[in-house]
Parts: sequence; structure tokens; C-alpha cells
Amino acid sequence: MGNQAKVFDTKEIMPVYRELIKNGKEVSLPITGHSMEPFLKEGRDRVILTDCKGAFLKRGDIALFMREDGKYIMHRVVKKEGGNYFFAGDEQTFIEGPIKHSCVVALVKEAYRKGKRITCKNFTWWFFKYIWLLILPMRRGILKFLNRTIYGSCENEEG
Amino acid sequence: MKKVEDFILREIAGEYVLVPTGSASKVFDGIITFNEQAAFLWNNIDECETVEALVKKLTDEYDVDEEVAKRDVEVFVSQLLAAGIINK
Repeated sequence: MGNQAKVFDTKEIMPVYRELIKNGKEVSLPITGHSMEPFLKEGRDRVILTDCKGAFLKRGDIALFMREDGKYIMHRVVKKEGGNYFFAGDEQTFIEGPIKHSCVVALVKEAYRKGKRITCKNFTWWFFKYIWLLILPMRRGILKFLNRTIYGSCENEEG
Repeated sequence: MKKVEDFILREIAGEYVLVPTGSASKVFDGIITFNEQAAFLWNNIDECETVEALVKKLTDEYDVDEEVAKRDVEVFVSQLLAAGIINK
């Protein structure tokens, strides 16, 4: 009955996932893109999505929302303003918003990172939710510094 | 045979897919695509006690050779059993 793997576009999957999430189901979504690095990595990690049940998101929460152009984005809440959210990926310093609460599709409940289950009880989760978010403006510099000290090379500088 | 409730059959982009939800979404990474006959088997699996009953359903519904149907159903059922998607 066919064993070849088929890759579906997120755009095709999401309507079905939204319906399942709305009905109280939790679904697993693989990470696509690089914007949530170094926390979540494409090809390695995935997240479990759940309905936010009408509750408002809090700073530090990771959520999936839909942009006006229909694109689905999974980023972290940086701030809340008058019922709207402002998001940024863990790899980013750019803050996107305002995003209406009605555009939020799901809340990320837990992650599978390097094959290991990570929830709000794990240090890694806590670190990215609070510390990494706190130092948002300095992220680029820190990542550059880490790259330089760990790999001892400047060849990727000023790309 | 009994389906594990956490697996839900849906149609995405004209294909049948089995989406793991709830506790299945945690252990099962990815979604499973089914062709039309596999989806038919899935929808009838709960009311069939045996592979033979499922083969009968399939041959009643589709114009397939019984030998081929039997082989296909056996593979299908054993794969689902091995993956923990259905129970005996």
C-alpha cells in the first residue's frame, strides 16, 4: 500500500490540524525554519500543539498564529498590548506585531528537542522562556560571541 | 480489531492521512498517508474481528482479487499492530 514518505505543506495540513485542535485534540508539528533556534531546530525537533481554550497568552509563551497573508508562524510572545500580541522567534531580535488574539491558532504545550521531551518543568524550557527572552536585544552579539569562542573562527562574520 | 482512538483519519490535499493526536502525538512523529483502500479498511477495522472479515469487506467493496486482497490486508494489519495503531 505504498511506503514512500510524503511531505505535506504546512498550509495543507493546518486546516485539518486547526479543526482537531479546536475539538480539544493535541497534535504534533515538526519545526520548520530557523527562527526558533537555538531552542528548536528544523529537522530535529517538534512541538505538541494544544488549544489555548480562550485564555490569553502570557509573555514567554510559544504560540502558533496566522499572519494576514495566511502564513502560519510559531514564535514566542514578547509582550501584550491592549489584547494584542507581539512575537519574536528565539533566533530573532525583530519583534512582530500587533497580532490579534483571534489570529492565535494554538499554544505550544511541550517540545521534543533532540528526541527528549521538554516541558515547562525543564531547565531548557525555563531558560529560553525567561533568560533568553530577557536578553532579546543582545542575542545577536551573544550568538556571534559563542560561535567565535566555540568554533574559534571568524569566517562567518559579517554575512 | 480495535483502533487506538488517538489516531484520526482525515483528508489533506486529496490524500487520506492518519493524524496521531493526544498521547499518540507524543510517541508518534509524523502523519501516515493512506490510499483509498487503506482508508476503507481503517473505517471498517473496528467491526471486523479477523483479517478474513476485513478481506471480505474489501472484496465486497472493490474489484480486487481475493489472494491479492488477503496479502494486502495482512500486511496492512500487521503494520498497524506493530506500530501500536490498532489492537487485537
